[in-house]
Amino acid sequence: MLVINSLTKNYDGFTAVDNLSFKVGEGEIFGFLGHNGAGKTTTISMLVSLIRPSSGSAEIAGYDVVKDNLKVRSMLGYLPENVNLYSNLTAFENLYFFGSLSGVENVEKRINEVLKDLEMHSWKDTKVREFSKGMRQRIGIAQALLHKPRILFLDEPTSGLDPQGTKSIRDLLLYINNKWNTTIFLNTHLLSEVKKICSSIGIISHGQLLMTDSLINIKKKFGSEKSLEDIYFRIEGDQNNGENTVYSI
Amino acid sequence: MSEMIVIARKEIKDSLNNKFFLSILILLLILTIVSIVLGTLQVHSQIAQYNRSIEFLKSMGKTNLPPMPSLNPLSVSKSFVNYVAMIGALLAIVLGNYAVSKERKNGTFKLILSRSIYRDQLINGKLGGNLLLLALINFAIAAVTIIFLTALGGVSLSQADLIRLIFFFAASFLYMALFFIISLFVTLLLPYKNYALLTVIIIWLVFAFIFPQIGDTMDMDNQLPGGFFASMGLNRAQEKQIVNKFKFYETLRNGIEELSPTKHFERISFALLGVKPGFKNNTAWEIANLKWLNLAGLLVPNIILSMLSYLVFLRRENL
Repeated sequence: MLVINSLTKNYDGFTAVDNLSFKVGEGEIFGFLGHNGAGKTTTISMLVSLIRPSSGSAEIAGYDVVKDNLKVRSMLGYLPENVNLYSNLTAFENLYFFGSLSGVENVEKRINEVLKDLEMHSWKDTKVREFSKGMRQRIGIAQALLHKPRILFLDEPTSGLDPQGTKSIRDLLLYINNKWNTTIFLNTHLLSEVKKICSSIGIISHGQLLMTDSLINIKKKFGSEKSLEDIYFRIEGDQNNGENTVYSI
Repeated sequence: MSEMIVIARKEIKDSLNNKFFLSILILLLILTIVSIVLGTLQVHSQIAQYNRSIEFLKSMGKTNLPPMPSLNPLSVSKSFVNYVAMIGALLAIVLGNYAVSKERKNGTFKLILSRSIYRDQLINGKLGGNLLLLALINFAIAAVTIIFLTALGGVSLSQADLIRLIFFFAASFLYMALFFIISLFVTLLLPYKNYALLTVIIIWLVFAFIFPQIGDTMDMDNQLPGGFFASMGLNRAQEKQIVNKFKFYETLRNGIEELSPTKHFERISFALLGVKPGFKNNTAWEIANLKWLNLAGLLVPNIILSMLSYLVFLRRENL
């Protein structure tokens, strides 16, 4: 579904993303792990064609994110970090706007379907400013689902949520993945989140990919008794000690 | 095209749900009504004063009575020019700032641009929606003006008066649009909402108040109450002769005034509303022709700044 080849982004002499290469299969939930400032958001911004890569390429379902950017954008859903939507408009009005922009046919019907799926239907006429952070995230995910995307890009979707809200978003992502086989690319720095829902992960630090593999293979490689946290810190530690090992691609 | 309309519609809806924007709009509407009421009271008092004088002259047996002074019905809304210069510009500044800063703060620029639309559709939708909103505001204020003028003032407006009013509100739209575009452009350039707002407020203060003030202070005719030349008993030709002797000074003074969009708006408006003498017998078209420089002073910066905003919006990677 997603193929990334030597993807690089430079900003005035600073390399935010350095030569990334990996693949994400259809229907996978891929956790893109890294500390704050590691390059996760820059990577996702290039993949949803908000910014242009300095070099390298990425393809979604065979379409190049730069050359075929309109086609690519029609196939993806995106939720940036800390999105507040239009707080003066109701949930329905927000979704109607984004649905119309995506060219969704019979948009009202589709909004009702998505809101029912996300258990937000009874809130559709409430202004977004009255929502809790968790509810806003749900509406944010709803807008990303309106045009039935094949791949969802979510940037720290549980950031700032309480444990209840975090669990509810996690369950929702599993539900979306199970029901429509939607590929999910999840940017996060929460290891617990990755452990619970991701089938494969990539670890990025200082713009460089340190490792990518399925969770099962990682456990095998590092020993099943090791927690994901131990593994993460070992890999990060290796990089900080100057051992730029890419564990598996 | 359809995406542009979707964005334009959202811009209007979002603004009409914004309490701060609505408060300024309501204030502008109230001030419009107040200016008409005050203007009407002034006209009524002038008529009453004339009638009293006539009664007095008649009681003295005079038959050679002075004619009724010509009262221009449009001039009752002259204070409105000052309100648009202040509150109208502020309203437009808020709209321009919100059009960019709210999308940035809420992360919605990213949401829109991650869809299958081009950047120029987004900026066109924003410009179109907000300019249409400003046009609607001017239309609403024009309607309120006409209704209150006829209902409260008991004034019947001729077709020529109505055309003058339409031209005046078109100028008012151009003036407000200019401050909207300035605000949009500055907010696109500067990363922080508050810096952008502060910068535009400073621009507004300089161009709308300080420059006209400097021009007025430097005006020779303003050195004495009632006009310097009039108090010296000099006619228009003599005034011109004297002013010509201070050509550099006058060019400088006029140049400073020409830099102010508020002065351009004021000059067109005072001519159209008949506040400034000398345009009473001209049609609205003739006034527009006579004041083409002032019209250009509003129109040209609008076009230039729109193009610059367009360029910044299309080229900037991180909005």
